Amino acid sequence: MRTDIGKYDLLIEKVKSTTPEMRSPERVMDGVMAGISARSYKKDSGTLIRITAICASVAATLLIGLFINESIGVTAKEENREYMQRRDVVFYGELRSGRNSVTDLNYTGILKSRIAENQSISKLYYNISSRHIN
Amino acid sequence: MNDNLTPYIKKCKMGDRDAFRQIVARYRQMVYTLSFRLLCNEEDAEDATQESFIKAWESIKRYDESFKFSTWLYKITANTCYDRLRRRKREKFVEIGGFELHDSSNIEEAIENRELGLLISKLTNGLSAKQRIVFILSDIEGLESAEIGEITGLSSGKIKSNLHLARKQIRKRVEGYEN
Repeated sequence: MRTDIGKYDLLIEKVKSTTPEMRSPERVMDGVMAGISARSYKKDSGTLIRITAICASVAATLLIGLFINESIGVTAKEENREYMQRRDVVFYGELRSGRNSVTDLNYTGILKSRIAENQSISKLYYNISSRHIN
Repeated sequence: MNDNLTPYIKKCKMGDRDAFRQIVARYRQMVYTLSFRLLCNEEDAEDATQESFIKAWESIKRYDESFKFSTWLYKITANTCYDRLRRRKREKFVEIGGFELHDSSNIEEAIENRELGLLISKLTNGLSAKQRIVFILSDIEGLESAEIGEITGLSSGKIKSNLHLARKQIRKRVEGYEN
């Protein structure tokens, strides 16, 4: 009569001594190689997508930066030009009325020469004055 | 440690797939056997074998050659099977018949995969994934405790306790069917 322990050992021995038979080793090999190729393709395309995304975001950031810089520059330039024009008009008016408060002789000279060169300031003065009157 | 394997491993690390093919050819039976013994199912064992080799390829650059290659591969396989066992959550507890083992001549008899799967299933059904892995690695694969520790990442104490519980449960079942 066999004991329980004996039976346990026999069962273990049976499992140990039996190697499961691989039905199709070639299919396993093909599966492994195909899996490797698929993973590496996935990895490559993933890397490519990541690189493209990084490049696109960098380009977008640069473009936004450029746009902001440009718009700030344009606004500042316009503001400056407007300020200069206003200042010219004020001083031109003062010059005409003989109440020249401009102490900077150099600027007065520049203004006079500008007036002599073209009539843009007087035109501007006229426009602004008439708009002011209206 | 991996003398005749070292050139292949080096080539694999450089991305040589043909070298890896050689490694797969050499170790596929070992990986399949462990997978089968853990999962008790041909299809699952084949899938786990493929998955383990793919994981091995993906991490071969990190493989430290001072360790035994087979242990490293065992570790990947055991982890793959462990995940699958856990995914199964609770295996359906099938009503299992008695163990038909009346005379010693049965041991020599070649048994089919299906029967073998069923037998291991009968023995290990109800064990936790950890207990099953420790039991298979120790009592079926015949690995030393230190190597089991390397593979599973468990401490010697935990290996002992898991093994004790697994053996106790299996013995109880064998005994139960005997009566």
